[in-house]
Amino acid sequence: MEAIEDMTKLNGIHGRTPFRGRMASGACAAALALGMAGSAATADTLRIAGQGDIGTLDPQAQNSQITISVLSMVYESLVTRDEDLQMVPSLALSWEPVADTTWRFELRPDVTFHDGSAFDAEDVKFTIERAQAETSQFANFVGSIASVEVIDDLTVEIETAMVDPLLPDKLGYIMIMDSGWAEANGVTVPQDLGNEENTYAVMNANGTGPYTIAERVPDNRTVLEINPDYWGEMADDIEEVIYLPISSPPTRISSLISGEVDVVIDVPPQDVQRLESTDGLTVARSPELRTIFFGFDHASGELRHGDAGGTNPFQDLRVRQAVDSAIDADTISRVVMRGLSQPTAQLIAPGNFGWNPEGDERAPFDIEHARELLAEAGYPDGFSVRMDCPTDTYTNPEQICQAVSAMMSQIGIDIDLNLIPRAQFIPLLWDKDTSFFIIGFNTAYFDAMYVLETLLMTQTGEDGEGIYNYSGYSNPEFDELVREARVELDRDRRQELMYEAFAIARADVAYAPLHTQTLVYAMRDGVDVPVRPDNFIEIRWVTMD
Amino acid sequence: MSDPNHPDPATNAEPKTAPGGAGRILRALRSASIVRSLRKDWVAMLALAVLLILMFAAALPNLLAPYRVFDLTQIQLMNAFRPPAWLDGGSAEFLLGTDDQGRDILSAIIYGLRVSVTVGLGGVALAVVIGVTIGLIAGYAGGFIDSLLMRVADVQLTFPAILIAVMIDGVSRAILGNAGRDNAAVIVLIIAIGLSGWVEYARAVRGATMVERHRDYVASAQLSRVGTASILFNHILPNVLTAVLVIGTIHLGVAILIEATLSFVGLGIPPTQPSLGTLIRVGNNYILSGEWWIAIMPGFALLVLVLAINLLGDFLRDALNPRLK
Repeated sequence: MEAIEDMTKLNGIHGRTPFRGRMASGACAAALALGMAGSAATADTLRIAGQGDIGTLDPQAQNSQITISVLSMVYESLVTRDEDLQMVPSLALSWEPVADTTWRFELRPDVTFHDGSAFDAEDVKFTIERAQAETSQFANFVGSIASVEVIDDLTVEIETAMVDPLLPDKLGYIMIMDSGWAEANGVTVPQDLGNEENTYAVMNANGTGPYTIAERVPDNRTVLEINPDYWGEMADDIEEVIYLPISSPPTRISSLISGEVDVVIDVPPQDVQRLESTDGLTVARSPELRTIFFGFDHASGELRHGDAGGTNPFQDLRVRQAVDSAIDADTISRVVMRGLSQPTAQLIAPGNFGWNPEGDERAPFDIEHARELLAEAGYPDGFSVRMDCPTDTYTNPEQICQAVSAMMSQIGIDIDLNLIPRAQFIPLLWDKDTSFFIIGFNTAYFDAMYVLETLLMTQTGEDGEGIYNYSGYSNPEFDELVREARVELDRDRRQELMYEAFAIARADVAYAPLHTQTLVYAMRDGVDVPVRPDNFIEIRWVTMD
Repeated sequence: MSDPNHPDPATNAEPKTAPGGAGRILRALRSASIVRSLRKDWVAMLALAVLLILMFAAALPNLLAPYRVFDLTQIQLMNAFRPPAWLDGGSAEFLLGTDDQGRDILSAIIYGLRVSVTVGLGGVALAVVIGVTIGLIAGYAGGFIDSLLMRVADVQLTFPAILIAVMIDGVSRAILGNAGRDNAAVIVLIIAIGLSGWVEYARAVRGATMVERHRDYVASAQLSRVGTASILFNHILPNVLTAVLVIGTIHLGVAILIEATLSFVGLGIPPTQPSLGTLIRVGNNYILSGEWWIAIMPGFALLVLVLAINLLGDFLRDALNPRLK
């Protein structure tokens, strides 16, 4: 149980977050029993506002935080996380490795999907295979799986192509669908979101989770209704949950102050102080397990968007180093983020296994040095390039991108700033139709391996290697190290290998890291939405009076 | 009827236009009656003075603005969120304070003024060209053409200007792509405002044309075989321009507000080349956090600009309308 042991050791970080103790387990159970008994008959609605909308209801089509966060109220995985982010049973009751490359999962009996059909091993096999399809954005999570065998109704054995100690962690991201429902509605493969395909599963859902979809109006609202037959435990029994995308930050905050919504999950740093001093509101925060950084197009021979005399300057290490040293992360943290961020030199945040406490020293902010590097690389007068920047995801991206544009202008890089909604931004990444972009990334299962494999490895199209490597970064030496690390069972040795791999990517300036964010939720008194460092809204823990 | 292709050289000399039809504006200006009524109206005087100052600033921002706000190399994030000079923490360096990027707000307003006024004037000009042409044709031709054009105008009137502007914005994004649309933002907005605002001109000009076309000078021009286009634009147009001038002035205020509204909701000018509306949108992010000046200062500039235009428009309407004299 290497993976579970990893999680235990990782636990140190949670003492630093306000997260622990939010639900001391004993008190929690008592409150839970009371909550169930006391408010069973009250009609109540929890309205949650965030900056962007969910992209689809198809659970394998879009690996984007708000999408999977809302869908996790409807669909469930084999495993889930408890308040200390430790893996605990969900649709699987238990799991164990029965051979080097074989995991056995015992499934939970008497669970039904929303349409009444029973959950069984066939559904697990079906969903894992669905997640391996070409249109799936979750291919990496099931990339190591060679085959799934149904032993009986409630037992599956998963055969991996190589040793994969993190398999149960990864399966936490595979939300189980009903095979019968999927076949009946022609959605056995995930929606091809990149080509704007529309399928039945985009607007309809049938999971095992505590909520069902009552209404979905894209870019307007998603209404969830409680599933009375839910098998699991809930801290409360809120009848209706409404997710409202409100992209304008002041409008979102005003909605909370005026009582139109109960919770705001994307609170701009500039409004934190004001909300904290407002009667009747509570602000909760936690360092997020996400890093914000800038990406370059390493692959194209010529800038796709920009003008550098027919070349692609980002292929030159010195240019990437110049960009890296021209970003004044401290000032961005102080002014744009108002201290609610931590400048970093790494691509993973503290709290992830593989984060290096000694690796967080940024390249010194040095305009002169950056200019020299550009001149050495043959761009003494700089060049122009388009920067693609989503406006409704992460914290204050528009302000960050504008600030970095100004910083780049100091060294002669003329930025054509392309500010667009996330819905238009993501396809640019998929098509690798971007030369310079900002992106936020978190380690899905709190292990750096995810970042190494999906973001940094050469994109091979196999097993999800480099599936999110939109930059085209490729270094065979790096790939070799990751291949070695991912089958290494010794924890310390694995950490050592991951440190080495990250050091290579850092030396290559594969990306230019900026900072890790602090997550801030604001809610009216009487509502308690715990802030998970991975930014999942865990509806099972939410209480409301 | 005249044949524009074969004008008779002997009779092509333009007939004298009818007395009283030589263009009330020109005449009024010449006899300085408008100047006289302006002297009596101190509100209009003040509005004109303010407008002249603002237009001067908009025309020559480099002269007046302390900083080049479009020049990214001049922007320092460290200067962000400075309050106006008269508040604690403010400095004379940034008279009206700075925005979230460290841009001088006074300079941003002056440059923003130029964008707003350019879009406003451009939009009005386009609306005038479309509206006056349609109005002249409808009023002069009458009958089926008139009915057709005026029904089109009626249909157009059922769409609010903002809705039309949003539709044109959407179409432009589909055609040009997002980045292309942002680079052509000024032109897209001018088209949006022009296409949404022509109906009033068309109606006013049509009405005036229907009156004018039965006048003797038109009849004499027709008899002299002057081309239809020439009759419309050389003979009738000068006599209906008064109405156009009055509507145009009021419309300029409306056009600037439409631009501001669209930019405020993020469909207008991008924040890299901010107009007044864009500046207000940016500032709106900080309205709850205490940095009120980022939104209020450009908002106040917009208020003064539109108020001055509207007051002047009111004055012109009164001064040029003989019935109110």
